[in-house]
Amino acid sequence: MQIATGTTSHRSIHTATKQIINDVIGNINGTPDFMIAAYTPNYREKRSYEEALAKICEETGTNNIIGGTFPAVATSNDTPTTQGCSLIAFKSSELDIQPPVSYSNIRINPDRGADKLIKLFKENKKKNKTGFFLTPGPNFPPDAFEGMKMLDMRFAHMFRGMFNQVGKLINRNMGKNGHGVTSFAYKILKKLLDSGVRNTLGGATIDLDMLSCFQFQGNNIFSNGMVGTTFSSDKLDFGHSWTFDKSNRSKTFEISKGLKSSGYVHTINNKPSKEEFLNVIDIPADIYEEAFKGTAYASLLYLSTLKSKDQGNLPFVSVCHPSLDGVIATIPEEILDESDRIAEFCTQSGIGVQKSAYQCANSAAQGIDNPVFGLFINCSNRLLIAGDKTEEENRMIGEALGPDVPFMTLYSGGEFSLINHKPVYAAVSVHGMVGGYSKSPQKNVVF
Amino acid sequence: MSSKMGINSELQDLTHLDEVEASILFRIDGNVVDSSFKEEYSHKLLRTIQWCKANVDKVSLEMKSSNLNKVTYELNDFCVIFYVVDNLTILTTISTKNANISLLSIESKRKALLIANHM
Repeated sequence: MQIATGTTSHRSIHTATKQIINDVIGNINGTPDFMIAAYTPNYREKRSYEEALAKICEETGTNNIIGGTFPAVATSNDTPTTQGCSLIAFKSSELDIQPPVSYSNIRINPDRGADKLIKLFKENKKKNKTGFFLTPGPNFPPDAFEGMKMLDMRFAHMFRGMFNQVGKLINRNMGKNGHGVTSFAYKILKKLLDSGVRNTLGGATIDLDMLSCFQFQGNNIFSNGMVGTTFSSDKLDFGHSWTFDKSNRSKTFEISKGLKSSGYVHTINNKPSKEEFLNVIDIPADIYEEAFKGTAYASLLYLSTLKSKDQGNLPFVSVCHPSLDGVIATIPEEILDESDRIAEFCTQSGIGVQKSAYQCANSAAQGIDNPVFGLFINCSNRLLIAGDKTEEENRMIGEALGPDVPFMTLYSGGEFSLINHKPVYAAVSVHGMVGGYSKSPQKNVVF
Repeated sequence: MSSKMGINSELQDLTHLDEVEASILFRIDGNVVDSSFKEEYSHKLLRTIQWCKANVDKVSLEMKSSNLNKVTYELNDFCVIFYVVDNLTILTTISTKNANISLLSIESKRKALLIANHM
């Protein structure tokens, strides 16, 4: 089995691509079976990514590649970068990775995307199998909040009974314009679950400047697409896990009223949510704005966790924008419906982020005696907490997997998993998948 | 690629990032080994660079004595990140004050390691 990884950085996407092909494909003897390519979003132009992917396909001789744009990318054998790309390439007779599928309009119609993944699972007759898919993430064009301000002011206050209609309007508008949250991914997870899929790992592409995000499949570049495949084997097993930094828990609060279909929370503790949100985290509005205006108003140090009936405590990002009276939270309404609506605030720390990454990798590798590769979807919010300690975080993942086990970490705008028939849709978390031998392969002995 | 070209290319990579105005490789005595700037730069930026040049010896002494790898300052509407490259040189990245320092320090650290390989 040959699995090679690498990370390169350069101001020019062409140079970074050329270098990654030399570094990674040079280590694979012949044409790889499958690759995952992750680029940082600073190259901006769709055309740049098209040319880069075309170059990789041409040089490797295969179109079996998926990937996307992420604010930072890392692999086991290199320092993380925010200006470059990471690549993992697989070539193995024991690991079967199916030719990838894509669906170009996943925000509007997640069911169609899920169907394509389900078909891959059904076609696959191997003993052990798992899925891997990437979607678009939150994406706010510069005028997005202006439009929403009008909706908030005109409708939400004057016509309280119309909350659900307004929520649908906001959500439809978000989908149409390519921005909003990733709650459609929860629908994909549910559909996979209903079709009997046991394990899957997924993540959302994102640009922290909220300008654009792309997903790749072969030479195709999507901005609102889903790309995915399945990993399967009769010899290798796949372990999954997820976690978040839950080391410091603080106040609890009640989500009193949330708008259906929008992820828009109007009241917390029966008070206007913007006011109460700042009250609960004990930060004056001006300091909150100053601290978070460069990061789309996401609450970085604070994250809210909601106790779901089926999934336990799930962490979510909450956005409190000055032009809105409410709070936008990345909680799908299905989860809100199935929870007791009592949420908790946690504080994140650099050390907590590192420890939780180790826990995730360690737990995913449990039951696997000899890990051979790992894939990790890690929240970009955690990236901002870790900063230049991101390298340390990945070193700890490496420590959990064992020496020389290749792995790739993508810093995403949403993390999702199916783990032993349980969907986990959460933000501010790290999700991992580890492939390896459950029992070390034994040589045939001839007497 | 020669060592000098390699170092200059890494510095150019940094200044190519949207928020970065200049990247300078200083010797700890304040002499400039190499540098890269955005095409247009302001007097305010030059004043900040002068401050860096005048203070890099003190900063490096402090970093050495306290075993620090990175130090950041905010001044004149800019943010300055000092990263240790080796015993004799320090990488200085000057960005706009609204830059995301967490993200920028990831790339500064990577570039400091790559520059150390070129030395």
